[in-house]
Amino acid sequence: MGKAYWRSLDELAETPEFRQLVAREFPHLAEEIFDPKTRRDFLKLIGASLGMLGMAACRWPKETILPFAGRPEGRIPGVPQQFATAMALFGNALGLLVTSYDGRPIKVEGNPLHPESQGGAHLWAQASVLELYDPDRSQVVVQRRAGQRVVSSWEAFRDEFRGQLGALSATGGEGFWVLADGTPSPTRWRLQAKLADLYPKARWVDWDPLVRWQERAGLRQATGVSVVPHLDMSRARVAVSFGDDLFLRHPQAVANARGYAQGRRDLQNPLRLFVAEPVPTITGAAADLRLAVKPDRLSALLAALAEALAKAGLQLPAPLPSTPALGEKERAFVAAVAQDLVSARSSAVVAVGAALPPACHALGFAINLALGAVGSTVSYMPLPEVPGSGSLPELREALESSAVKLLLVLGGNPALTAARELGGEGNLRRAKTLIRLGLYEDETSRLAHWHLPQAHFLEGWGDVRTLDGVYSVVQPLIAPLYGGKTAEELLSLALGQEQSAYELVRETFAALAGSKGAEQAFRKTLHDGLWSEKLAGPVAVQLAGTGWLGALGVQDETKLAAWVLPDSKVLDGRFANNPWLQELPEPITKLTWGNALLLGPSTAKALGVRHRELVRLSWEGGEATLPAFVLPGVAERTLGLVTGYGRQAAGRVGDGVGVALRGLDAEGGALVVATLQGTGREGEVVSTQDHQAIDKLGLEALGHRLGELVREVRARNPVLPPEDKAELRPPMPWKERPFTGEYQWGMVVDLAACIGCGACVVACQAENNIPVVGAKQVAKGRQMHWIRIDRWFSGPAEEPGFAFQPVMCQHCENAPCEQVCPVAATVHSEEGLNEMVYNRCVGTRYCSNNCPYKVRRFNYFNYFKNVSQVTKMAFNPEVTIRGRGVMEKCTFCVQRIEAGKIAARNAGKPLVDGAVVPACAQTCPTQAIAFGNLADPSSKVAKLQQDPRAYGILTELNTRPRVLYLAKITNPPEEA
Amino acid sequence: MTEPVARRWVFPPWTNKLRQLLGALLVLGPVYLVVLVGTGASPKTTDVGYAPEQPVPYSHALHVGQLGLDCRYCHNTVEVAAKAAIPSTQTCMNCHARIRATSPKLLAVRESYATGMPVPWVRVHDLPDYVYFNHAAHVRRGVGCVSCHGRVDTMEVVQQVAPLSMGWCLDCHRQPERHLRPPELVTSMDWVAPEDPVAYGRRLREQRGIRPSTDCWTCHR
Repeated sequence: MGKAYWRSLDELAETPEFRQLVAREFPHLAEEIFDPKTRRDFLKLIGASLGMLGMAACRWPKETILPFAGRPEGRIPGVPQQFATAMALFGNALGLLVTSYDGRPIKVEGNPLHPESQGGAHLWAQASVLELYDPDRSQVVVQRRAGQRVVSSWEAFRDEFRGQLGALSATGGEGFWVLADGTPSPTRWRLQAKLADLYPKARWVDWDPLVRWQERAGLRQATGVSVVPHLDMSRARVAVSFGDDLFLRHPQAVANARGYAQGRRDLQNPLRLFVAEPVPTITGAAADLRLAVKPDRLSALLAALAEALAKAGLQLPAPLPSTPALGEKERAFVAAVAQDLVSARSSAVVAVGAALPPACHALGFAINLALGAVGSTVSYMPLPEVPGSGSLPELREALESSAVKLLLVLGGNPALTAARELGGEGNLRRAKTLIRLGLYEDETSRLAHWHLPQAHFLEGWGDVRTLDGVYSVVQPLIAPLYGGKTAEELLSLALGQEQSAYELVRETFAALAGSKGAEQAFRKTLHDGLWSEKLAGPVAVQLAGTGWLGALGVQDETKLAAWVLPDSKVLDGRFANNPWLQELPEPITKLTWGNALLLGPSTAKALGVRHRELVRLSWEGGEATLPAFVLPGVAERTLGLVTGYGRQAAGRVGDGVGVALRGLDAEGGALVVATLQGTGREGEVVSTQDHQAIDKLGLEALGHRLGELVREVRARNPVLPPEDKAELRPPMPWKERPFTGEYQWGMVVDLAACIGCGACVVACQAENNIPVVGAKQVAKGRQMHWIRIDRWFSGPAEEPGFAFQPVMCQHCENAPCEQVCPVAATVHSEEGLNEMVYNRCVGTRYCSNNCPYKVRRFNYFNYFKNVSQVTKMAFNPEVTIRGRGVMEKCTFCVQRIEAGKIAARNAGKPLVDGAVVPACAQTCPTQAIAFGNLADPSSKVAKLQQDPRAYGILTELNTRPRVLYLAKITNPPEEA
Repeated sequence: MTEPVARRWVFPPWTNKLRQLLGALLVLGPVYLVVLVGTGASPKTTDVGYAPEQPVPYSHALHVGQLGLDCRYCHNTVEVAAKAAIPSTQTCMNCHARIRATSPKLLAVRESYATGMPVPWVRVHDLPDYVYFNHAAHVRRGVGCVSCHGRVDTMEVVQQVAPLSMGWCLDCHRQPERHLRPPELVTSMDWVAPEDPVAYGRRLREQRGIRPSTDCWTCHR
């Protein structure tokens, strides 16, 4: 039997609260029925629905069909088309394919041709379609005159802007500043250079809290040139991360995850991942050896590693700073890492967290260089040098001396994310004129004289470049919904040219491609989603200086240290108004709708803080009161914090969700010394970690053998013992139904590849019109996600192991839900699908009660009642919108199955393996989910179901699931 | 045993009165059933014979019956897509730019052509939104247009001839023989099987491996 896994500290301690959650699937139901107030509402609703019966007797509403006056060539109504585009995030670009249904983008997927995506997409790309249709996005040009908000127009703005620019051009642009969001766009760089020509004294500042500025600074110190690293994780066999969230909050997260999974699948020489981090991330959860380490000890650990490597004969800069005494575990970690690094050499890579100071990045580079990893697992790409660049401190100085005449803020939200660097957001007001182009009328817009609506990347032309120089055109899928313009269009206006975004991109491309068939090359670039030629290649780098060595040091260790990262869902707050992301359970804490202060069990005990207790946190320059969340795996005396919450001007969804940590922004604020005080009051923590728990205790009472839900094997011998694969399949007392369909659908989920990022959850939500229910409903266990990712802990609470297990409907061949439905609303298809028929469902919820996997979701309300007209455009027309009172669950994306089958039959060919891909499997960056036809023994899924690691969960219950799991692979170093 | 909790699940005394209501239920129940079945199955409910007035008095009898236009000239996506597609105004104007170019009946068409705004045709065959019917899947298997839409070539105004109910769909999904023909002849309005239609259909079915599914998710999802 494998090791014991547990979901939360509550389960580990077997608290009564946890027992109640297991015993009562919908824990808050009973109180509600007997609450007289809600009962009255219930009767009212009954009355209303009787009234509706009379209405229903009338004829269907008259419907009109509005065909095109002239249908464009190749356009077939009701047949979705895919277009390639790209999204910029973390200073990098991700190639995407967007599905357009009758002119509306409804689903985003990764572009298989794009090297950063390879078909996978992260959760922000998946959720971007909802951002496009957000009714709270800014829709008009707004002018603020003497504090009064006045709705204006583009024409009025243009006139005033021209006047201001005319005055500026006389002085060569003295006092003209641009604060841009750091989008890596060649067109923008071209216009930036032009602007510098026209206004030689104008200054340009790029600021994006997600761009790794400290890394760039560190690499400049170490190499003497401006470069960024570009990882190739698929070539790595030993990867070490010092507080770097490689798989989620990283410019190359998707490619890293893909490379990691590839490395793990190489069973001859599987990748081994070491992670030292203060607060658990999904990267740490994937590690073979994870060390929970206080943030201010990370640099010491890095220095100790450098010393160990130098002793092993590697060429490292000297003199290395003396390291403080390491603890026993730290020593063991460093020894194990050093040993593996020395033997792996060029197939090793060391990554340093974005929040660490520049000197750490410089040392990380020196180690990679000494290992010979540069050019193999990591290469360094030049950053474009654009004239007129300034920095945030310079802008602050100019603002404070009232030398800024015109400040153009392009995107971003500096009032929120750069408040500290600017000396308080109020300093922005010191600009004589502040013009802001933004998606939302947010905190920065409220300080601006002019707010201009920005075009979303799905509705305006643009271009982006990946870190390693792959050029993609950002192709709009729809005309701007609210008359927004792109940042490049505004820059063109500043240049007095007023070109459209399309013309600007064409001009850039013409300059890049030269005369060689520019039109054809452009069309191919649009179609493929990337240009066949790269704009940049790796540069040779060497160690240029060692001055930074002195900056490596250790801070005061006795105090509490805070480790601040951008949130893993709303990031720096830019996605705060996206309900899909707000409701997505955070990978590790499973928190939804808000943030909390994370601390380890022993730290909580030492400080006398309870789980969920509101605590007052203060640091130099600010304080906040937020709930504590006791999380296994947080380093001692460490406080885990995230930014992006508690926004005041995000929109109807994001306003007031969570707690703001003003002045503690993600970048420089990583290593803050803080003090903490409990208040004794209970805070609001909405975590799904114990929801839908599978009742193991009950099974033991029945005397059954219970297999672990998560099983793991060692990489040396990736085979499950036969007793772990045994199923209970007693003869049934009734005649079993044969599965006669041509196709027999099945799925395999590889736990060795799943990193728990949550992209599948959002993809499923987008594909299947899954409602968002809000914090109050989630607290009652009523979240509607068809796929949930169970996060399991194992081992001791201070140093837990982690495992992720995505659980969706298992499409049991002997489905317990079907046997208890009184109205046959859930039945089996001949292709082995467990079908849910919404029209038959009367809402008894017996099926959910009887489902051992707890994957069925009930519509307690009509969650789509108040959906705005514009948000309705995001619905997938191929999937029914479910009403109140019906059950729903994973369908294996039956709409895709049927579309694939019909297309194959129409073509007169058999359905090829891989032609039908459910939304979850499609987006998965690690390809952890395989889906296909089990009746075809040559299909990928049929082969994987025969894998020596394959097992079904709860097969002891004779459910015969169609979903099998491949056991998690661990590859710890020998001594551990 | 905690008393208040247990009491919640015991019927209160007033429910005894409900027994008297049972008698009334016995009388009204059958009446309700008759009315329900009667109205539910009546053509009025299923809309058989529904023939709304269209914004343009387009005659299928003239265009298909007399002039012999193939269905697919206008409904040209029927073999490749779920929707048969109402033709764009451009399709009308292919001919009517010259033929009857000034007819007052075609005013709406010319207007649409000039402005680019669509002609608001009224939907005749309206399936509920939770039904996902696919024209291509049926037409490519050899289900004739006539089987569902009737003799459109004789209709001045298109009307619904079939109930389009789930029972009607399932009849054919269970026994498709009666409605199968060679796929190249699907648009023929007056095609008759060269032999006993059921035997012919059965042979076609076997030849082409047609196995219509009656699983719920075939049409509902």
